[in-house]
Amino acid sequence: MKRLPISLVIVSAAAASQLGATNCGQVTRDPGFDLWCGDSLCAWKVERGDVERVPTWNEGDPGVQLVGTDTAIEQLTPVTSDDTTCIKFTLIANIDLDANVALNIDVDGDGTIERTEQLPTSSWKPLEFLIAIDAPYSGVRFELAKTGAGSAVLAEIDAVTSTDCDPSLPKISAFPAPLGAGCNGSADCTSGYCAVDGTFLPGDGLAATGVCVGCDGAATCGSGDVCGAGVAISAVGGVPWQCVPAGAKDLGEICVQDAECATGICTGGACSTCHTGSAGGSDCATGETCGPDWMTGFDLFTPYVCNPNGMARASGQPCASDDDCMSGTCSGEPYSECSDGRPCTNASECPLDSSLENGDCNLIGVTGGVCR
Amino acid sequence: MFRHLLLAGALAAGTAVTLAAPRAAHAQAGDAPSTYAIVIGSNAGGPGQDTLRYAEDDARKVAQVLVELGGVSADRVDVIVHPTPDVIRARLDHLAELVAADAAAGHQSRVVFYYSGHARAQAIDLGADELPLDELRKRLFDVKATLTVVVLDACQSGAFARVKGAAPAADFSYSSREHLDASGVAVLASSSGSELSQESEQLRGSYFTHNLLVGLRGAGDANGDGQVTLDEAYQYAYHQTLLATAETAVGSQHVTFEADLKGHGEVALSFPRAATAAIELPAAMEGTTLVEDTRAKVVVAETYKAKGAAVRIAVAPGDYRVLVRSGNQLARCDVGSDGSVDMARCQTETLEAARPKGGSLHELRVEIDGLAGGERDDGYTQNLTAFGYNQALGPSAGLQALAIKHVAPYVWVGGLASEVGLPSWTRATGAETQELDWSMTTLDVVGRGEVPIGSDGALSRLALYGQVGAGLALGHAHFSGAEGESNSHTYAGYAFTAGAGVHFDFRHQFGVSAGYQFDYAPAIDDRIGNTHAAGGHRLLAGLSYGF
Repeated sequence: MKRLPISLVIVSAAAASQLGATNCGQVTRDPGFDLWCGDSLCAWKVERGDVERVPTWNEGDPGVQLVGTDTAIEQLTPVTSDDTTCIKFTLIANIDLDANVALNIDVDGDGTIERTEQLPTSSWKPLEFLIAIDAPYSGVRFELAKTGAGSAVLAEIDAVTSTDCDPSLPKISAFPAPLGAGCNGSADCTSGYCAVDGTFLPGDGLAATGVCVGCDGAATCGSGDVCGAGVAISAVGGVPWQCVPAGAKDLGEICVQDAECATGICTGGACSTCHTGSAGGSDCATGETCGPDWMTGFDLFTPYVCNPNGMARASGQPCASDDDCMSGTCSGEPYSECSDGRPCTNASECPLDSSLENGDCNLIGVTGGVCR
Repeated sequence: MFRHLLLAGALAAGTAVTLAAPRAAHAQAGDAPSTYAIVIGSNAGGPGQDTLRYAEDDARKVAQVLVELGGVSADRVDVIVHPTPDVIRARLDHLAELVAADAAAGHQSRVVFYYSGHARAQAIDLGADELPLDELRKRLFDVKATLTVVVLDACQSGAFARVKGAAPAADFSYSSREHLDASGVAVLASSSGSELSQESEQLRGSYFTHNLLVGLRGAGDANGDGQVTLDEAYQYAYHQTLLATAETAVGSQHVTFEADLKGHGEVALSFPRAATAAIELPAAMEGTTLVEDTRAKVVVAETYKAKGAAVRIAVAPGDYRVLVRSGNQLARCDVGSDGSVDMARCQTETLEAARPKGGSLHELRVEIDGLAGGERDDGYTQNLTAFGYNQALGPSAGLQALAIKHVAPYVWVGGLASEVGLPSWTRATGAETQELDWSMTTLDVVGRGEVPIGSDGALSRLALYGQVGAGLALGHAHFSGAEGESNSHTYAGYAFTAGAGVHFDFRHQFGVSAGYQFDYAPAIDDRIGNTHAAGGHRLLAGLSYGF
């Protein structure tokens, strides 16, 4: 197991702060398909094929019918080994003889299905599956897939943490795990690197486990690359360390090392134009101070600039927000991030909170900006 | 409680023999005959027979009246309680010796034999033992008395009327004056050959013995000559016993009288005028009259007192009061030290309505009950649980209206309508809640069996009931969906109900009920093939009104 420098742990730990996020043992969201967004499911994603809202025991209490001969719905849940290593998955199913319905389990949500449970033909019978998973793991994607022409209506799909798993129950092992997933050692990771820090971030769930990362400092990366902040493989995984091109990240982009940034400065987890404290030296002009530019709430994953929001930058100078510029306009790439600082384009890329809802993806500034 | 005695033939045959053998026809002038009495009471029942409550008490009362008013010396009254057959044999043998000695001395003698207890066709039952009737008859008539009076208080004792060579006593119009002699045999039986003899909890004795004794105490003195003859005693006992038993559940009881007597004198059984204490019911008094011994808390006399002539009831010295019922008025009268009753000082009150055995105060009853209990769990509700719904706390609860008519002793029939709200089921879905509200309406035809716990007083108005019913069930279900959707449905099915409880009638037509009820009404369906049978174990309490 590798130990990363404190600064390197920030990104992984921040991303992994979602671990242990289930609330009251609930693993999945909207078990009763009550939250239909028009003709679409809100909490479940239609992976392929079509679904229809159909009545169950009462016409006012809907279920979901998997339409067509190849249909699947999925839900990525933030449950981790800190929550449980045993999940009870239940549903009520009305499945015709000529329909083949399976429950697919993708631990860590990396797209690899580790186990498939076949659903029996059923006439509105409650079905239950106990799922034991080897620790550590970070998130589970449940997929319900139907093939065949027969009808399949599902309702009350629910998963909760459980203590019912017998030790003899075969466990699902997701090792070697993908980047961003939990690990106990290097052998647990596809990359061969398991980063751990047990002291830096309180209450982040990483005290006993690490996170699979792609590199261990610059020495592991090829020429022209640097070990920096990578891209999360899913909303339930952490932002992993990966080899990234050196000096390629614009002002405002997430980083852990100066070498990642075109500005050559990484402060507060984002490419910046100045250092803070004594390291800042003469980064800023006299009378200006180096400070966070974006209102992230925790001064992390925000670019640090001189005289932030001071409308002091002249045309052509780097900026991170409109208020940095005398002109009031900072042209650059609009930048949104999740509450944990990871870049995002929509909420589904953001970690799920304790109510199993995705966090918000907020437009927060621009990257690579230049004042007009 | 019934007193079983089947005197079929055997004793009767003996009687015929005895009646054919004339006794000493006349006592010597101025030489009063000796009177002996054997009075037997046995509460014990044989196999299959209930234990009687008052047979032995009746025997003691008979003995008391014979001594008080019958002119029988106390040392000649042999009271035998709960005897064995050997005891009776010995006492009859001893009596025969006494009578024989009297005869040898030229004295006439009379014998009164009284038996109260159980009997079967060929024997009287004395608990585990029995005394064959043939033997009893032989021993009884071997006692060579001038006059033998046999009084039997037992079921079907009137079978004695089928005596060979003797005509039945017919009915109360029988006039013994034309037939009686001062010698012979007379048999007074408590009931006809096909009837049961009954005891009364209220009288604390048998109807027959009680009325016989009241008659002997003076109420039977039809001609007012101060003595009650055998004929008068019979006629009084016949009337009063018939009246008293006419409305009982068992039915009318006819006292029978059989005699083969010779001579022209009347047979006087009691002399109430000579009593040391007596109560005189005034001429103006009218109604059913009870004379109550206030110390012993027993009724010593019950008679219908007609207006127009005073009636004198001989009693033992003591404290008494007189209760006179006329219509729905009850007068409570104190008895003066001289035995007189001052009607002006009687306290009068309106009678509570009384419930006859198996009957009711009212013929029609309307009852409103509140009921509550747990709701049945079945496939429907288990499915709701599987779909994530939770049942609200609290019971199924509602009201039911019952209208029943009294159609036969203990039996009511009518209709029942109920409306019961079932516990709702809810399921939280985010900020909203899905909810199933449902209820069940039933319309049943019901039958109820209702038996009073007691025969008088408040207990007579407290009854146990059992009830069953079946009919139509109408279920109502309203579902509120999470997105403001809602739907309602009404379902139909059958309903069944069964229950038991108690009902108490207050005065003035109101009453209360409390009980248990099990309801079953499978009517409410869901879309996936489950049916909920609404109902379960419920407790109820209600108010009723009788018409």
